[in-house]
Amino acid sequence: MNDSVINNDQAFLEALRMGDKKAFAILVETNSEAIYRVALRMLNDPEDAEDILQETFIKAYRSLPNFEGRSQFSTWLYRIAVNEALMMIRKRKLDTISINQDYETDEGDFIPQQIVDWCCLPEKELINNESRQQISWAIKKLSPSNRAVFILRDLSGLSTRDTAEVLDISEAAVKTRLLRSRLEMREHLSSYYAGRIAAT
Amino acid sequence: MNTDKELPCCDLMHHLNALIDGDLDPETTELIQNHMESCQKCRAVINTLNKTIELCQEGTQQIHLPQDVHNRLLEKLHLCED
Repeated sequence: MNDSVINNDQAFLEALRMGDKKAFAILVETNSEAIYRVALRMLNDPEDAEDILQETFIKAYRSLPNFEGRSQFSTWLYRIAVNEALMMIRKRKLDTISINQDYETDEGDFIPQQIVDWCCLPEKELINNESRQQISWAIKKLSPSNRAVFILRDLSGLSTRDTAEVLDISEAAVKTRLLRSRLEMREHLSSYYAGRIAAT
Repeated sequence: MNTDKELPCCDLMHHLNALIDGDLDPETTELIQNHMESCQKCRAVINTLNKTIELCQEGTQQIHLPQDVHNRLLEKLHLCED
């Protein structure tokens, strides 16, 4: 059963509100992998991601009687998960210094530094264990608020509107943070792949 | 449609999100395509930007919920079938 089906099923929503375990199990099965991905991308630590996954569904279960059904279940669950992840980052001071600072003008415009076109690299150079680690590291280097936008919008496929709803920010803010995240990610990967080209 | 207009590199940066997401109007898209044909730097930036997102998406799709994590989740939520 996918998210759009369960969202349009009033009986399913009522069953969830009444604490029906079978309905809740369906909600968990439908969304747990997506929530785990977001948590792992946000925190880059499997144990922390598991904690967020569990906490998300525990909180969701407790809040179900008050769920009004105005947003999709997945949007609601993403919201809980991202808030939990951001709280964990704050508590543990897992925040990192953003790598974009040297690339911006005083007006906030982003100036690309790495101009090498590395798209021509062979597939085995582009995707391997080392490059996957680089991607994870670069995502972790994004500021938590930019990271959340990049993960929801580009990696989880949420619309700008849904991302704004999950994070409780404006659509304009989503677009600004998304552009910054994309460009920062490109700078980092370009630096890495330029090094690979130079090494060959 | 006027395609004689030239687009400066800095203007292209302001259209990047819309360009990547396919949300640009046809006229601006054509302006950018014309610009990219003659500007190697912007071509490199846009190509690598698209590739960056593609690689990040591919890497994320490789993430699966491990079975033991799934089992512990069901236990925690008292959803295990005995």
